[in-house]
Amino acid sequence: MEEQRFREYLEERFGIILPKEICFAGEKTLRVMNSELSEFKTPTPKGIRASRMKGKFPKPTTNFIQLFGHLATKNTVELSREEAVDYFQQEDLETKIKCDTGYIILTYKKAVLGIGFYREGKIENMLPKGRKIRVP
Amino acid sequence: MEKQEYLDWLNQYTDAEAATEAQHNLPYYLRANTLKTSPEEYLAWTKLKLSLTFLPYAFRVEEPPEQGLGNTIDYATGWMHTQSFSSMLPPQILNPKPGDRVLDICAAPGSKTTQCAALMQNKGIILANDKNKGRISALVNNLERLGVINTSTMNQDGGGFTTSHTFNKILVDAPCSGLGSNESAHQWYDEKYARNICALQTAILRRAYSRLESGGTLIYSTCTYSPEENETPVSRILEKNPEAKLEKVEIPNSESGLSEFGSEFRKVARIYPHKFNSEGFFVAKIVRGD
Repeated sequence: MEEQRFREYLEERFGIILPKEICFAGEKTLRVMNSELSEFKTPTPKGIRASRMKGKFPKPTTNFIQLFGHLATKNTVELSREEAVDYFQQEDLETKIKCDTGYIILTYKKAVLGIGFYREGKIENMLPKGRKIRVP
Repeated sequence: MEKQEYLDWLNQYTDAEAATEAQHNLPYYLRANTLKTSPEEYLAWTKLKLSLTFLPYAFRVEEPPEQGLGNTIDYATGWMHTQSFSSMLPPQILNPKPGDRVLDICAAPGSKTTQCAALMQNKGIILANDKNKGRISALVNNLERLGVINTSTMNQDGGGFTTSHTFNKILVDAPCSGLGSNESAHQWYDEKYARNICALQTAILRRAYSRLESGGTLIYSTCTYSPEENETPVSRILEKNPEAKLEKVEIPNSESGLSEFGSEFRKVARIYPHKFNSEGFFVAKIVRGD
C-alpha cells in the first residue's frame, strides 16, 4: 500500500518512473532494493531507507533521491556551486523558479544533492544533520 | 614490540626503513562511485586535483583540500569514496559481476562492500557481515550515502558465522594487527598477539570457505606483514581442503608470498608501501575446485 502510494507520488511530483527491477519493503518506512535482494531470504535489513510518511506526503530520503533523482522530469532546481555548498551546510535557500508547494529535487551540474521543501520562493533545507559538511 | 625490534623483524621480509618511511608519507586516494557517475564524468565534474591510477575508477589526490576529503560536495553527494589504493585491490581481484552472490564476512566500515556493489552495478546480492555492532552503523552510512541497494547487513562473529546461504564470491578482509596501515601497530604486536589473531583469522577463513560454492572464488586479505596472519591461515585452509587451490594474484609492484610456505605461495601478493605507494597489504585468491 505504502509502496504504491510512494511510486505514485514520485511519478506525480517529480515524473520519476522507477525501473522494474527496483523493489520496496516495509510499512511506515520503506526500504528500496533490487529484485534479487528482495527475493533473498534473510531476517537481516535489506537495501537502504527510501521514504517515511511525514504529514500528508511520503518524504523521500536524501539517499534515495541522490540515487534516483536523475530520473526526475519536473520540480527540480539547479543550484550554483556556492548554493550547493550552502545546501550541504544546512542553510535554507531562495529561488526565482516557480513550482507548487512541496518537495523539490536540488541538483548541481548533474549531481543530485538532495531534497528541499519549496514554498513561495523559499527552499527549506531537508538535509539530515549527519550529512552536513564543514568548509574552511 | 619496540621500534628497533620491529624494524629488525620487518627486515626479514622487505627494506624496513624504506617501508616505514613510505608509510609515513602515503598519498590519499579515492574512487569514483560508478553507481552514481562514471570516472570520466566525475573527473570533468570535480574541483579536486587528481591523477590516474591503473584502476579506471581510482584516483590519487594530488592536493587534499584543507577541510578534508570528507567535507567536500564530492563526498556528500556520494559521487566518490575515500579509500586507500591497496584496499581497493581485494574487491578488484574478487571481480564480482552483476548477478553474483557475494559474502563480505568482515565488512565494516564498508569500503570494499560498496566497491563490490559498484562492480556489480547494484545487481546480484551481497551479504555484508561484521562482528562489531558499532562499526555496522558506519557500514550502513556508507551503503546509504553511496546508494547501494543490493546488500543486506548482518551482525555475527565471523569465527562462528552461520547462514544457510552459499556464495560464488567471498571476501575475507580479516581483522589483523594492521602493521601495514597503522604506524603504531608494532606497539601491540608480539608472538602472543600473532598466535591469537592467527587462530581468529583461521576460524573466520574456515567459516567463510564452508559457504563457498564449487568453482567459487574467495579472496583473503589483511593490511599486515606477518606470516602468522597471512600465509599461515591460507596454508591451513589448503591443507584441510585438497580441492582448494591458489590462483595467481597479479598486482603491479607487488611481491610474491614467502617461499618457506611452498612454491604455491608465489601466487599470493605482498604489498609494501615503498613499492606500491599505498598501505601494506596481503592478498590471496583461493578457488574451490569440484
